[in-house]
Amino acid sequence: MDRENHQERLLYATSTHWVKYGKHLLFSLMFLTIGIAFLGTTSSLTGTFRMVGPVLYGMSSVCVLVGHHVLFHKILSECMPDILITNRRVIYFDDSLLCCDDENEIPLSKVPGVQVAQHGILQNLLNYGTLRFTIAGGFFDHEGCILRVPRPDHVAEVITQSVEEECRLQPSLSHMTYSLG
Amino acid sequence: MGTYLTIAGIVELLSFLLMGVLISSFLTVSHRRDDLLQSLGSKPYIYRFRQRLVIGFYILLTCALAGALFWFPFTL
Repeated sequence: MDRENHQERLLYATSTHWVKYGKHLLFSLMFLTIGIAFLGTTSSLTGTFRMVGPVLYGMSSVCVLVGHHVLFHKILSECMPDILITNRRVIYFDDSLLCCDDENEIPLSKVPGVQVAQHGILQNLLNYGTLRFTIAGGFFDHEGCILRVPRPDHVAEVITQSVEEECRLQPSLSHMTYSLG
Repeated sequence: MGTYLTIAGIVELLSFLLMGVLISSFLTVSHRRDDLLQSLGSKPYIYRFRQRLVIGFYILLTCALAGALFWFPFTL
């Protein structure tokens, strides 16, 4: 029975909030608009200036395709579940295809507290926020924070319950504090 | 017309190459993530369906853009 309890199992898996795509979507739309504007100019200038047409056409093609690939690079990088909570640890990933492949782990045995921070209208309206893990009254620096967590209250609750369960199995662990920001 | 089609060909070749690199990199990362999820006792088939949907949509949209860019010179 004890052995079953100590086996690591997944309690919760989620992806960071969709708001992360906003910046790239705007960037992509901007490039798409510029590309279409260049295409419009190409068709109107082709009759007048023969050399300008192909150059503008090349630039517009590049703009449209850059916008397209930048957006899908972000979507492919982020569409996997990147916040995993097990009964032993919190694992979160910071991926960007071909650029960055970070995996961070926070053992629950070293987490006496977790704080939820939701600042601003957007975060409260769309229900996402930052989870900060505390250690002995202080905060981890950037690495102890998980940004853009959807339904952060619920995620913090899952972590709290998991730590409490861990505390029951290992009474030497300190009790967890949980606060809402 | 020939100049336009040459430009479109070069740009589209680079585009498809980039798409291939991105998809292969994505598959590598997602297989690793699936293995981790499976080792933790989860069934990752739900995520796999979403991943295939995204890849399919990416290929479809890239082909549609390529078609549009090759078709454009014929409208001039």
